[in-house]
Amino acid sequence: MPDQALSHVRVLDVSHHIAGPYLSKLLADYGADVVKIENPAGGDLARRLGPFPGDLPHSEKSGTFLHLNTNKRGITLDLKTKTGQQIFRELVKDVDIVVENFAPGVMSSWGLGFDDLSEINPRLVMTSISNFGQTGPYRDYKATDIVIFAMGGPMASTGTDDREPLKLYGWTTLAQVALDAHVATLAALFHATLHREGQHIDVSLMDAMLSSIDRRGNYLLAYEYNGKTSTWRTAAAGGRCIFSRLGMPCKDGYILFTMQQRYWERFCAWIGHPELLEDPRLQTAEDRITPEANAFVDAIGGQFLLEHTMAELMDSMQSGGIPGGAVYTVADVVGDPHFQAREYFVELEHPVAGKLTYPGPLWRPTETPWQIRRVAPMLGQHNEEIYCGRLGYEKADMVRLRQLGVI
Amino acid sequence: MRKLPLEGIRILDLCVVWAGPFGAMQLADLGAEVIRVEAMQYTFVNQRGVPYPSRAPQSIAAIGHYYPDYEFGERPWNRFAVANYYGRNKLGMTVDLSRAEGVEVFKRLVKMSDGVVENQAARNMEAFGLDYDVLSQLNPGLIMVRFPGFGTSGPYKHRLGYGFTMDAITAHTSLRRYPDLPPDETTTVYHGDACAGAAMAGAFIQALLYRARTGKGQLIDMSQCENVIHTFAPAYMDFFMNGRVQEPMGNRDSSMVQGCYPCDGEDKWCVISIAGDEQWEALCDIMGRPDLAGDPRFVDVLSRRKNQDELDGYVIEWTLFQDQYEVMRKLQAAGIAAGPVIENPDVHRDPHVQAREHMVAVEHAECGIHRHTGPLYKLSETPCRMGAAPLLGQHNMYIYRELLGYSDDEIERLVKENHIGDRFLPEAR
Repeated sequence: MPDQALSHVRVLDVSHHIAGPYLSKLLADYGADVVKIENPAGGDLARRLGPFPGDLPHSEKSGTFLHLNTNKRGITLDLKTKTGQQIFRELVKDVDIVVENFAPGVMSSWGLGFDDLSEINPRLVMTSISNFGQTGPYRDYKATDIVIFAMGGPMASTGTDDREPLKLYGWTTLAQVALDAHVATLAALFHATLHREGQHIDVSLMDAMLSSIDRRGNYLLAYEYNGKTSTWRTAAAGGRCIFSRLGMPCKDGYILFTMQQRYWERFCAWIGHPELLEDPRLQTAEDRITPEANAFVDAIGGQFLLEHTMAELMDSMQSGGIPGGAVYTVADVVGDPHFQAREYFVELEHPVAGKLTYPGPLWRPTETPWQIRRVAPMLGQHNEEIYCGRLGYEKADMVRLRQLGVI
Repeated sequence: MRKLPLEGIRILDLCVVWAGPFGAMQLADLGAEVIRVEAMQYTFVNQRGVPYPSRAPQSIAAIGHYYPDYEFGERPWNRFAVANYYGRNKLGMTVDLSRAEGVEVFKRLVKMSDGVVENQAARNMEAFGLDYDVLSQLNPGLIMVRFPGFGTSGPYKHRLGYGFTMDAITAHTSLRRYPDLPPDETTTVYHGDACAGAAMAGAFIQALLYRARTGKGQLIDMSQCENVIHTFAPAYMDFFMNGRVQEPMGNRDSSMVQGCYPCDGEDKWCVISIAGDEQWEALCDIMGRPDLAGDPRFVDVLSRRKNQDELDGYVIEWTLFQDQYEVMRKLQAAGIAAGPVIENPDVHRDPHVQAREHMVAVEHAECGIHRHTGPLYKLSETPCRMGAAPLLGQHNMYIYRELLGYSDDEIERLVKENHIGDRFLPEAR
C-alpha cells in the first residue's frame, strides 16, 4: 500500500457523535493509526443514528456511524472507572493526538484533563471540541446542530422572509467545524514535531461558526464598518443581476445561477435572444436592474428555462461560460457521469452491515492517497490487539476487566 | 515571542471568491507567510470589490455596506470588508500573470516557497503555464493544492461554479429546503465553501508533515463537491442502503421535537430541540402548561414527533411573549438545548462572545480600528495571530527586492509595466 501523509501519527480518539469522529476520520482516512475508545455499555451514540439497512436498527449497521468511523480500530473502556482511567493514561504515553468532545470539565473530572495528560506525554496535542468552548458563561449549555447554526451561523438570514429562519441539512455545522479542528490539530502536531511541545486546542462550535464565511466573519466586519445589518431571507438576487432571482424552475426541476451583469452578452446568446443586445431599454447595467427590465428579462429567460432540462441547461450555460448548477437529488448525483468518471463513490464490505457504498476521497493527494484500510470497527473489535498487543495484558486480564465492566 | 506553528512556511495564495481565501486565512492565522498574489489589471468577484465602484451608480446601494461608513475612499479596494476579513495576516503583492514576465516573477517566487494554493477555474493555471508539472521542476519540494469546483479531472473539470451552485449539484439544496416550498424559495448558502477552504488548509498541512518526513512535495487535487458530500452522509448512506431519496425536513429532526419559534419583537426567533421525556416535562413546566405533559397527544417521543404541528402551536403561544435570550436562559437552566437566532448586533453584545474575547480589534491603515471575529480555535501554547489584511501591493518591495533580489532598475521597469503597483488600472475589471 502506498505511504500516507499521516502513516506515522498515532491518535487516541475518545470522541462520540459527529464532530469529534469526523475529525478523527479525516486523520484516519489519510493514514493515522486511530484507536477509538467507546464505552462498553452500547458504545458511541452515533451507533443509534440512522439510516439503517431496511430501516432495521442495529448497532453495527448505522449508516452515520459506518461513514464517520472508517479506518479506525475500536476498543471499549469505561473511563468512569479508576481502572479505565489508569488504562487510558497508559495508552496516552505513546500517542501524538487525543481527540475528545465530552462536555467541558468531564475529562478533568476523570483526571484526564490536558494538564494531567501532558505530564504523562509532554508532546501531546489534545483537541477538545465542544458546543461553546471550554470557558465562558455558555460553557455548560446544551446544543444541537440547529442551536449552533442559530447562534454561530447565518440562520437569521437563511430561508425566506415571510417564514421562520431555516437550518441546513442534518449535522452540517458540526462537520464544518470538524474540518477547522483538523487544521488546528495538524498545525499543533507540526509544531510538536519541530519543537517537542504539545498543547491543548479549544474548539468551540459557536466560535468557529462565527469566524467562518457565508455571511459570518466578513458580514460581521461589514456590520462593524457601518452598523448596517441585513437579515433578509430571500432567494432574490438583490437587484443586481440579469435575472431577479438566484434560482428558477426549468423543465424537469430547478436550476441555480448567479447571472451577473458582466454575463449579459453570454446570457443573450445562451437563451437564444441575441436581439436583446440591440434593445434600447437594456443597454447598460443600470437599464437592466430596473424592476421593469428585470420583469421583462425574467419572463423571456424564464420561458427558455422551462423549455429545457436541468442537464441541457447546465451543459449549455457552462459551455457559454456562465456558472450554474441544477438542484440535484442524491440519486441525480450518484448517477451523474462526472462523479462516476472520477470514481468518487466506493463500495466497501463490512462483516455485519455487508456491502455498502460510501462517499470517497475528500481530497486526492498524488503521493499519499486517500485509502480505506479497514471499515468502521465493531464494538470492542480490537480489544485484544490493543490491550494484549500494545499494552501487554494477558488474555486472563481481559476476562477480569470484562467481568468488572471496564472493557 | 514564541514561534507560531507554521512560521517559516511560505505559501502563494492565488485563491478566489470565498473558499480559497478562507482556507489560506487559516494557514496565515497559524503563522504561515501567505502572499496574496493579485494584479493591477483584474480582480475577481468578492476579492477586492469593484475596482472603481463610484463609476457604477448602482454600487452604493448594492455593495456600499461593505465599506467603512459607506465611503469607497480613494482606494476602494483597500476598504472592502470581504478582502479585509479573509486577507488578515497575509502579505500582498501585485503581478500580472497574463504576461510572460509576470509568470517569470511568479516562477522565481515558487523556487523559494513551500506551497501554492488555488481554486480558480481549472483552465486558468494551464493558461498561465503554471501547472504542477512546471512548478515542481523548479521546486521538487513544492506542495500545491488545486481545488476548482469539480476537481482537476473528469467531464466537468472546466465547469464553473460558486458555493451555492455546488450546493445545488451536491443535493444539499434539495435536502435543506422548506418541506412545503420549492428549492428556489430559500436563500442560497455557501456551506461547501467553508468546508472546502478548511479542507484545503488541512490537506496542505498533511502534505507538510509528509514532506518533513520524506522531503517530497506533491500535488493535491480536490473537488469542492466531493469534499462537501461527506457532510451530507446520512442522506447518501440512506440512498445506498435503502434506495431512498430523503425528503427535506426543514428545521425538524428525525427523532427530536425541534423547531424555530417566533419570539417577542420583530423578526426575533429562537430554536429549541427536545430530545426526551424529561426535557418535554421541563418545557411544559417552564411554559406554565403542566397539563400538556400528561396530554395523550404528547405522552411519548413518538406521539410528540407525530403531533408536532399541534405541539408547535403550544410552544409558539409561549415563545411569542418571550425575549429570545430569555428562552435560552430558561430552557438551558433546565438542560434543554435552546438558543436565540442571533443577528449581527447580538454577536457584539453577547456575553459569551465577550467573555471568550472572540471579537478582536484590528487596526487597518485605510479603515481604522475595527473588531473582527477572532481565530476559529484557541491553541493554548501558540495562539493564532490577528493582523490586518494587506493593502493592494503593500508588500511589493519586500517581495521583489528582499526576496527576489530585483535591482532598483528592474523594479522601476516592472512599475512602468504595471506589474508592481498599489492601485488598479483605470480599465481594470
